[in-house]
Amino acid sequence: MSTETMQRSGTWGLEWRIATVRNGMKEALAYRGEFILEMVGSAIVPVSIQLMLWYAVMQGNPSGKFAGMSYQDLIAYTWTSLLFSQVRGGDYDFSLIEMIRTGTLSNFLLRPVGPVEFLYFKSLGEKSLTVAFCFGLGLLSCLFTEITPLHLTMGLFLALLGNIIGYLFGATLAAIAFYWENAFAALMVKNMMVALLCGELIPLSVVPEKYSFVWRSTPFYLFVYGPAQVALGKWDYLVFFRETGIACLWIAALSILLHLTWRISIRRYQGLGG
Amino acid sequence: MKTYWDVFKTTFKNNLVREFIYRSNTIAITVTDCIWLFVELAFFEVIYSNTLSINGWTRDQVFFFLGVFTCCDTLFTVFFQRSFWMFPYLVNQGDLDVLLTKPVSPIFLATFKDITFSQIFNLCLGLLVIHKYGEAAGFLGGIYWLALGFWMIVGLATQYMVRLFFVIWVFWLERGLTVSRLYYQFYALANKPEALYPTFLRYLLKTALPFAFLGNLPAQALMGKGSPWVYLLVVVVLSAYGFMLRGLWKMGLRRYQSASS
Repeated sequence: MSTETMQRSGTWGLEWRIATVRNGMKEALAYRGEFILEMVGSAIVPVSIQLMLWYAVMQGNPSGKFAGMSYQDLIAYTWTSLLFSQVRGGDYDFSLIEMIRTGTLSNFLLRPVGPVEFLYFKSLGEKSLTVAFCFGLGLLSCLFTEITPLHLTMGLFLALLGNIIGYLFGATLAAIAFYWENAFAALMVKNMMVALLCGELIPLSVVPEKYSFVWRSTPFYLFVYGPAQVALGKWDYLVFFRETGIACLWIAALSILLHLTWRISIRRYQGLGG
Repeated sequence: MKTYWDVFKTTFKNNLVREFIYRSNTIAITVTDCIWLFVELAFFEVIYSNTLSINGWTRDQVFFFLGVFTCCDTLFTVFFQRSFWMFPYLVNQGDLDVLLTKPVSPIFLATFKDITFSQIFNLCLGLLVIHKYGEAAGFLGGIYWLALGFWMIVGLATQYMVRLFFVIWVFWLERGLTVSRLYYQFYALANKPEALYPTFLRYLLKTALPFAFLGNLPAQALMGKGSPWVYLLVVVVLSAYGFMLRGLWKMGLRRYQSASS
């Protein structure tokens, strides 16, 4: 391999990224039982609660509508959001905090690979299995519902952008760990806010209009609510492309913010742990 | 009993000192708890902005229920929650060995190591919510404030046993962390009013997975809607759990092989 090719390969760094994704997948598959249990457990209970909630709400509702949505609409949203709620998230931002707190970040600083990016690709390995499973499940549901494979793919694409935004947001917040031992609290708060504002608990269209600016002003609705709307065909192509553009803008802005916060904060790192 | 009292005093003192050293920890946990309650209230606020009642539960009653749930959750969160997080590692890494050599029950030592005093703030939040929505919800007040104390103890016993039931499988599993974390998936059933649930689930939450003892039964009792049979049910279910866990713990210890088991 010529020096130029090697340099180019080093610049793109595709090799280590693919290897990291593959390792992440292998790690998830090494404990298959736990991986499946975790995925099913984290999906079934929230969905069951939602389904029971909609049933209870509709029982005492003679109009048969809840915030303009019929019972069937609510059920369809709940099942569709289930697919995308599995794509969002991951606890890898917590891993970053733990690495900073315990000093294990030092190992990564010696390597020619950024720790933030490395952890993302590792999480991507695990997530890609989830995405494949959700996509398969979604395709199956296309046979029985009005969801089309195209809409499902578009929804999944938006959910993946949401996953990147979620990680960038979490990793930026994780920089707090350079200053504060209890940075996990910031991520806990973030997770709680995300759970409410991403549309995983309720469709965001039921939020009263006067409060809707709250979820519209964050990128979290692109994690679950947006993809579910796309898959259900509630958002047309124009809205989809607009929202994809917004997602890309969030990714660009958060990437810059992440770069700045880590560059400034890492100067405080002592690598002592404890 | 004196040994236990001494252990309690020492653990209490050490944790109190730690709490004062890491003051920012207190602030962080307090803020997190406030946000958690805010999210729960906001969730129901959105629901009730579109409907007047859910299966007969009004907005004020649900908020009152959340206040009661927060109070009943406090004691476990303060005294045991953190230790239970570490329990699977204790078994997997063989650190339980040391505890088995002590002249005190190893289960007591394993589950009572870390006290999070800052979470007492939860109690204040819960009481504040009860105070704000109690009257409109039908809370009788007066002597019933004492009943809240009783239900808080029931909440502590219930959470301790159910949480132990979820972590004890670490003796049989290679990595018991997922089953341990599964507890929190089911726990999500506890912080919603039972009006949401179908009949079979209501029974399940009062028997096999008695999360109803954390919020639903206490809230109903405090609103004067509870039946006297509820108290008998609590005794029977918790006793059954106690016997079962005693057996599981003994079987688990027999299987325990020290480091990396």
